[in-house]
Amino acid sequence: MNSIQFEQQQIIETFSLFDDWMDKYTILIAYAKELERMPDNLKTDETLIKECQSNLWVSIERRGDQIFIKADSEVLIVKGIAALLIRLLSGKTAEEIRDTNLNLFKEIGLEEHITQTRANGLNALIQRIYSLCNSVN
Amino acid sequence: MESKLGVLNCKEDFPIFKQKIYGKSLVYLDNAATTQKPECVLSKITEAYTSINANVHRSIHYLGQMATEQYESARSTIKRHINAKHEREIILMSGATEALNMLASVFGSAFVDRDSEIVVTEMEHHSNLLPWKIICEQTRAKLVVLPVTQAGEIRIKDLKNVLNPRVKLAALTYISNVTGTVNPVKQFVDFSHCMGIPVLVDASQAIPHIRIDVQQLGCDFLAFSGHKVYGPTGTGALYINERYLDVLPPYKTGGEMVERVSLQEVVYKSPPYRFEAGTPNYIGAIGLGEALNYLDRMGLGNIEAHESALAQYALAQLKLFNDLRITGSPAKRSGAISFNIEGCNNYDIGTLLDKHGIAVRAGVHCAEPFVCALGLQSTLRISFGMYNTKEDIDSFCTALERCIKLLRQ
Repeated sequence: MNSIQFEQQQIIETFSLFDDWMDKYTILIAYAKELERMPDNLKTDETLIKECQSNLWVSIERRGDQIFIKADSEVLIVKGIAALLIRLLSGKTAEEIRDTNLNLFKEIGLEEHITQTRANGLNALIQRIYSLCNSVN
Repeated sequence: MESKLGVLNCKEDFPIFKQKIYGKSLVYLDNAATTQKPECVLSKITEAYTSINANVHRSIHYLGQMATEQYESARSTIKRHINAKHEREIILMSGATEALNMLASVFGSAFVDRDSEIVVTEMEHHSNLLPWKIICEQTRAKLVVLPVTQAGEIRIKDLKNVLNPRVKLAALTYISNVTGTVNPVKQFVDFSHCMGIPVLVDASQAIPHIRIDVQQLGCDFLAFSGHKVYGPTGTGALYINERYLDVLPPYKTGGEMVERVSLQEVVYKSPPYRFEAGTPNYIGAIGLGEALNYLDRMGLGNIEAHESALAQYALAQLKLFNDLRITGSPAKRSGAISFNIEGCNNYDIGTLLDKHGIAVRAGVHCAEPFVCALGLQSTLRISFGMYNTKEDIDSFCTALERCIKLLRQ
């Protein structure tokens, strides 16, 4: 088990302590509020994933064989989702990310609780991260 | 207020309320988006499919005749409901969006050129803005937009300033789907008619809440969607006053809207059929007729009184929240109440309310110019239907308080 898988398991276990979705959202919002601020100069059209009035900016950068992710959103729940991704993947090597089966959102039940458009956006984002990892050789 | 709030008590007529959402009772406050359907409408649709289903206006057999009879009966019901003079003035459509797009296209063909102007208001739903914008772009006509006040209203004096002999049509929404503003339609029509300018009314938000009388209003065109008045999706109507029926060209062409066709010549049928090409949603229209009959049985006066009391109660409760700002302050309102809460994102609140089984809407409500004109990026909206209760408002407010607390932790 690599460090990403270990951290993912920890997060899944934290969420599983609560049945009520309001409690799960409390955790998600706490992650959102702890997220490191994304500099304004990184909020560009290229980093914007737009969904009807709920903007999400995600910048993904490769330095050597490590991937670094920054994100921000006006919507705390969306920011919380991004914060979980960053906690798991940012600063990790492309190899570690490639070797990880990222099933966090399915395991905590989030996929059933976000809109289809947002779920599609999330999946597209994860695909973008993986393809950046695959291009690191 | 209390006695008016109990006057309807009709939630049991609507089967969808039997189900639980995330284990909680459904509190549906998104009626401006679409309404739930009473059992009688659902039964009517099933009955139509199981006993009289056949294509209309074409068949010589029993089923076809029965279907045609019920389809035309639905048209008559709509005519009576809005007090139109003739059945032929009621064009059955798939909804207000189709109706408004069609009218813009055919009216544009017949009357609009580069010297023309079309007047719309800043509070229009995109369905009553974009078709006119496109016609103006295509013909090089000028689109004149009547501004809204910060209260979320239009002013008749602004209308007087823009009306001139080049204006070919003035269009406005009866009731705003954002602020619930009830516009002074009769005054708008009277002033426009003084200058010989026809008026189109988008009655999508008005039809479920108030009595509409096209003869009393004097409007030339009126559109509404069936799904917003407890009828099926894919239904609606465009009212065209008889003086315009024979001067507007057809829009969709195809089956059943022609008297005869040769490769050299086409003779179109008289209205309304000229505007109803193809197989209509006849089962849907029959369902819509039943929905309007249901409304009449409940009494529009009762519905209006109940919803007015509900809105007043909701406004009073919302005003108890710190940092909550109601969108607009129209003198007359119906249907929708929009608001924002300082420091809380509307999508967060909407998502959290959903987990309480409460359905609201967040965003610009397909009226982006209006929301922007009010200085906002988005709003949270609650909108009432005849089945909503005081308890719904109480549940909503309790949940709203919990959501705000969570977001502000």
